[in-house]
Amino acid sequence: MIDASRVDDLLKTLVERFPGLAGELEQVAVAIDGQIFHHARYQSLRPDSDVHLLPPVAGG
Amino acid sequence: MSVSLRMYLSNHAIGSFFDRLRTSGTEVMSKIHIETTINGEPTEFLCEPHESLLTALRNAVGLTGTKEGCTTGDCGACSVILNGRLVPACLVLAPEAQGATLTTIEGIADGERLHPLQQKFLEHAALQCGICTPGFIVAAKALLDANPNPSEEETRYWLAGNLCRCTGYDKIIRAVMDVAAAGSTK
Amino acid sequence: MTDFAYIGTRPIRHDGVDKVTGRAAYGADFSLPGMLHGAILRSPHAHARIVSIDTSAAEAMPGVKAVITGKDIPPNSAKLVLGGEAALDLHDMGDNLLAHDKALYNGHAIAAVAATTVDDAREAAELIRVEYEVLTPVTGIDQAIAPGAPRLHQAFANNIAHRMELKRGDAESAFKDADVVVEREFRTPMVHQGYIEPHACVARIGQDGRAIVWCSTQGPFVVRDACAAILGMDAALIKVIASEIGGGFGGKIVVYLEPLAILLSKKTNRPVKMVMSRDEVFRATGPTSGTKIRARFGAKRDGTLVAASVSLWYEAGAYRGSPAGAGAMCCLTPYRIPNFFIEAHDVVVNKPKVAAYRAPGSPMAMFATESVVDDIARQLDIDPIELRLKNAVSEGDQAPYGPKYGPIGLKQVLDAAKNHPHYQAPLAANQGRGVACGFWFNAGMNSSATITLNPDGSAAVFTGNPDIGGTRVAQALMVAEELGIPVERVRPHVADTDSAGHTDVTGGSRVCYATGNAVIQAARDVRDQLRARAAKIWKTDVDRVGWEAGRAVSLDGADGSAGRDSKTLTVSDLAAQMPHTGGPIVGRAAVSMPMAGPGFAAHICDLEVDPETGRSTVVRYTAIQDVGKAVHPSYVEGQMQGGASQGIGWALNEEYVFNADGVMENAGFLDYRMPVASDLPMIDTVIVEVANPLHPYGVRGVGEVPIVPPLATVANAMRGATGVRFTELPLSPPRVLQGLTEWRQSTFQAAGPTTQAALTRS
Repeated sequence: MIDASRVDDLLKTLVERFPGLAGELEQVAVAIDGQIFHHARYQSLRPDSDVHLLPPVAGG
Repeated sequence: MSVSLRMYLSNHAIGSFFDRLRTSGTEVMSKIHIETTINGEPTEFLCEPHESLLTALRNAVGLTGTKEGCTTGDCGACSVILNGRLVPACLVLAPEAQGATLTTIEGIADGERLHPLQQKFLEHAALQCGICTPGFIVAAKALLDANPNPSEEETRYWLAGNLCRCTGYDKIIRAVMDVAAAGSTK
Repeated sequence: MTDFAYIGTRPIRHDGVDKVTGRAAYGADFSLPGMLHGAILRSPHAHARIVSIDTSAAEAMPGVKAVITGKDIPPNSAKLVLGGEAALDLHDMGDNLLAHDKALYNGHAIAAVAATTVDDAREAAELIRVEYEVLTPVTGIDQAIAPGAPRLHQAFANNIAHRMELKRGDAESAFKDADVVVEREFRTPMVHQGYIEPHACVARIGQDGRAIVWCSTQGPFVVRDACAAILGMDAALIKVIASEIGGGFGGKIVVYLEPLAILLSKKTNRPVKMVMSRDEVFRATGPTSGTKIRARFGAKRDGTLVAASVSLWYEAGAYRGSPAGAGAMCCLTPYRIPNFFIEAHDVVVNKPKVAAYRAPGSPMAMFATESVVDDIARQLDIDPIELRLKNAVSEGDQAPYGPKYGPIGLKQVLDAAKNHPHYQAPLAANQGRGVACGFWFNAGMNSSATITLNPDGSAAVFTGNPDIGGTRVAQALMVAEELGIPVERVRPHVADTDSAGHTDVTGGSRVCYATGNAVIQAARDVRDQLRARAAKIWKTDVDRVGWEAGRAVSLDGADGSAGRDSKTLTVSDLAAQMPHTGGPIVGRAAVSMPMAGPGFAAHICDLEVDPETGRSTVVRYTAIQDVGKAVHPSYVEGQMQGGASQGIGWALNEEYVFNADGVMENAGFLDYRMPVASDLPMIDTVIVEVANPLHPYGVRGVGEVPIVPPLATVANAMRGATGVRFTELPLSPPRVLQGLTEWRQSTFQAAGPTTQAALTRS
């Protein structure tokens, strides 16, 4: 379980627990309750937010 | 396309070209003075002997509407009408323009009035990025000059020398056939 | 908003007359006085160590003003965020611009020359003496990942730069419960975006260190930031002016020329123009990955999909970074599958570094999965659209990449396909019909917009997004809709990087959605200011002023609403009074949008195959797609038709042909065979609109999805026409003929002696 009210706190906690993730999480898109953000650093999170981390994909 | 190149090297042009080389008295690589008619206007320009008509039009004459897509005669973006014939300017030597009559995209409109092809291309949204559009309009004009009522198949095969990567050709063909159906071409 | 006055109409685009008269200025159409011309010397070898470079002969040539090599690019190991796929490593980008230690592909830039004419520059480049130690090239995935393969980069064992896994449930167990399992291995070639306009730029740097770059690009801010980062310059000193762009499709997001032109301009104190030849575009820009993909699906007899396993290997080219991850994320998106395993590998090979190409990664992956789904349908004798409908995702289902789908239109698209007259039309001999789905995310990200109001009530709208396919007229429609002024009275502009607020690239199907939303919000800002001006004139509060159809309406009726005799002021009235009511009105907005909500499509193709020559003809094609909301339907249809054509070319004829030395043999439009007008029929389009709740009008984005379905659609049609499942693209005549011959031979060999005798007699 991870307690975080903001995406940057969440990522920081993840890297603390899994240091090997540091490189991958530098460039990550974050889905919060179905909406996928490229620039997610300060997006707030609710206790019941459904969060997924994705490779950042934009297109061509 | 290489076969067409041979067709465009007329005896007259080659003859005068070599005359000038012999009589210029300077290095072979000096520029040649060309007199031609472009879009109804008498026009003069200087060009290298080996330069393409495409490069001469875009640089020496300053008509940048004719585009360079490949320089091998495969994309049609450089389509112009030379002495009544549709040609890829990238495969014509600039000296070939000596004494010739040229129509480029800049000469298609009639003063303030767009040519019906230009108007229909706009109405049908027959362009997206627009880079191929000058070549298509010149090529389509040559088609309708030769065949005022082409079938869809004839239109597609005539325009097969013009590449478009954006539209899939659907709206382009519709625009050209719409002009043909209206029967009003110049 | 459901009743639109302008959205959904088809006005003539504002830049249209310039484009049909040849006046529109593209990258190569721009010149400056005193300009020099740049040319690049490129590696003839696919893989070689650069032992030495001697530029002295080039520098001594009359007309040559400067020569640069890799050592002129400062070493850099930082990452640069381009706002898209995995951050571009600056070190890789700098090395790609001009090689340092190794030439990693045929065409890799080694040196650049600035001279007074193009011919002199090219001639001088040939005088540069490069000593190479030729190395064994890695020319394909199988060779690259085999044990003992030559390594392009020390860091990547087996040339695998990255691996990603996506899983759900337990696929291997679930396969055991399936009634039918189909597994196939697919191959797709490296292909190019094929934009007709080669890359071109002019750069000028002054004695004050300020640079201006005119260039054809999908992302002027990317050009600015990339040049600044690579050259170690302050981005504030670089202004980028985007020309009209002659196609991009993702291939004009990365920079290939601009930093070199700036460097040459700095060395010569003159403007420098650089234009690529078509040969260079093929060899030395960013095509998309060739791939190897294994796909396995398991289903119950009633058509329920129970398991899927997909393994993807994508060529990254000379440096890491292919869209394998995106392919992994896309390939199972249309279906509710409780158990799956997907692995994606990024493989470096001695080919040009791949760049984005319209829905990067998705077409190849969905070629594989949609072909297998088709075979599942055949084995179960279920209609291929019915099978897809049975398993189709809808709102609330979980996407393979994690989050739940919001409102999506897959079922509506499949229903429209099923009910389309094309699907019921009879087929002639040697014809087959194929159906397949496609998906793309549709990007959001950051955009800005500014709107200025003129005293006559007309408006101008500025964004930093180059217009590749009609986005300016779409923006004008949005401003017209919001302000209630005629669309002809709105002038849309693409502004340079000093004049426009930051905007992310034109690409990712995002301009109409994200930048469009910025335009709409900026227009609403103008509207709010206009209401405030009306309030001032009417001596009331702004909340007593409403807005209806292009006019401010007084709400000072007895019940607080606009009555029949309410006072009104039009945009023109208010604009004329701007100097007295508070000064000029400028509207602005900046947005940071999440992804739009995915787009789904289904295409139907009737293909006729000549069994004697292997030649295929597309006799009928229909593209059906959920676009959310079509702002200008003609240009939405155009995106669907254009994307379908690129996909058809990818399926039938396009491929990079490399020889054993890793040198491309067909670097021109004659032999890199893209569809021409005589190859295609009219392409029918059906626009489905399932509103995207993240956008005021429901816009979802349209540009990329259309290239995804055609690969499998055509291959499925080929299966129908010939009875043969082809798994390797392109389905060019020699390959089809060989496949048909092999099928006939194996069918013959598998037949009993009586049948064989009968076949031999006939």
